[in-house]
Amino acid sequence: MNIIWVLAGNTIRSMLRKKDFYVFFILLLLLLFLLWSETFFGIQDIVRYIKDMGYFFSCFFSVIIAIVFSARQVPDEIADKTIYPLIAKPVSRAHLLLGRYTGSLLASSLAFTLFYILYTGVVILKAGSLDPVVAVQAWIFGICSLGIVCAVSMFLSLCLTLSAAVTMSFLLYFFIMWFSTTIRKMIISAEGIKIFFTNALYYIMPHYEFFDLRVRIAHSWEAVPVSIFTAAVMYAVIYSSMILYFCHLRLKKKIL
Amino acid sequence: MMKMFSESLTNKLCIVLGTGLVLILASRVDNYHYDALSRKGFFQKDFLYRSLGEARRLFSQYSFMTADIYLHGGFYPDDYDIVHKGTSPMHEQNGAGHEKHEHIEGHEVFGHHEHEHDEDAEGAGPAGGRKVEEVAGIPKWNILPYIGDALHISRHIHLHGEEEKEVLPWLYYAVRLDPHNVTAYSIGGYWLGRRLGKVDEAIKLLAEGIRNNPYAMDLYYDIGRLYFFEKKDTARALIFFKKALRLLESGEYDRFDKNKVYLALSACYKNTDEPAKAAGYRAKVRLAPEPGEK
Repeated sequence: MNIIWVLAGNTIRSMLRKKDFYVFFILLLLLLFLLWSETFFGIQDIVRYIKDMGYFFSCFFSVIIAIVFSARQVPDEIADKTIYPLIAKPVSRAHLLLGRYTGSLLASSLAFTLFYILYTGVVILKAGSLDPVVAVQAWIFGICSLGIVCAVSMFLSLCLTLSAAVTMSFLLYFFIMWFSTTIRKMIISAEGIKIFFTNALYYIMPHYEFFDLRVRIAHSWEAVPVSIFTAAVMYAVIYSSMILYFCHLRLKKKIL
Repeated sequence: MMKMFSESLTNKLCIVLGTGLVLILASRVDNYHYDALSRKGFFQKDFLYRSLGEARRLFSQYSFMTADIYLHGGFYPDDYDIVHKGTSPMHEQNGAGHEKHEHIEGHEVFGHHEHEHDEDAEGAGPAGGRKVEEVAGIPKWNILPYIGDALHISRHIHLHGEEEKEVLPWLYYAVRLDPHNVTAYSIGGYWLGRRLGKVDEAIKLLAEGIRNNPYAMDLYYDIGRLYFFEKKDTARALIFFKKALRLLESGEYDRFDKNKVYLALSACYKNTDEPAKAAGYRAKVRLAPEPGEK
């Protein structure tokens, strides 16, 4: 376990050394300032679009960090040949994978947390309040979503080249965010053999959209029921674990 | 090689995001320039208009649609159609909401109908108002679609009172992105002038719409309405209604469009003590279509 934390710690330190996080933080700050300062037809105190856009950008910037960061963990190790001393005993390939995954997840979650603190601060200052239960749920869901993003990106980086893995991870993310509702509607209205195929597709694809609470935050809807919230978190844990298991199988077979 | 690529990827990403920021800032400066120095209208001056080309129409429609989504508390009516087997929230009552819709003058676009909202629709319930057990008829054992639907907001509500101002940013961007989006001007004028009490801002917006769309009959009618009902300025209202009538007579409009202008003119002439003209326009109003009329 210590080995995993040491590897994770290295990954987090490397994120802090890189400029990505600082660039996104400043960019988010500027965007929130722009959204704050905007007035429409002389009317002030319009807040929903700030809640909406601010949450979107906080998640989006975190996802960029998660994808770019997690996708290059293993390929970088292989390219730099630093993987050879690492996988000498007692660090197994599974340890390496878990360490790098944990590091990527913690690094992107740290970035998301800081973005989210900035975002909630701006929203509270502008709107006066934010439902604390929904805010906490959105934060936890954000981290769950990053867990899946990191696992999928890492898996793709073991199957494809780095550039292809990053591109595919982004495409997959946006495809699911945009079309998952359509696929769910297809399941609801499917008949005959289509039920099997639509359900199979729905179970295979990673459900990033489960963790997008933008509408609930922006339009002040009630919090997600505890049973559904727990089920969604469990889904994130199980799905990420499964993808990591496939990563392990892939890395085990990989000739280094 | 890969390290070089990843670094160059980061650099490229920074460049793309930086460019995006510069574009946003440039649009802000340009907008300030418009607000402070120019009265020629967005059409001539606006940075977004100049930079996006024809794609602006797509973004304008997206903004307009987002305004509709905001009006319905983040819920897109199309989802409702699927879940509730083809019923439309715009036109039918439903078990969850019992909404009554009072349509004004035949308009069915989102800004032009008023909704009376039953408090039952606000009844707290998980999953956007529905009980978890009733999620779109998906059985509980089909766990993932079930979770997906339970997390999805699908209650049909409408913003009320002060909250209605939340639709304005998207209407603002809809007209900025496409100065020929007459519907967005018309609906923006409606929300500003008749729902939020910002009559001067509404008149300014509609006047800008007329500058960019001089043959849009609806905009003349809308601005005339604001002068007549909100400003109580019959003389000015009459000018705009007459202009609307001229456009009406020179184009192809249905009887609903004609009726509303005739009624408006009739009301104006009634105010100016010209009963003959008022009666004349009143007589032109037809409820039923004539034989062969579409």
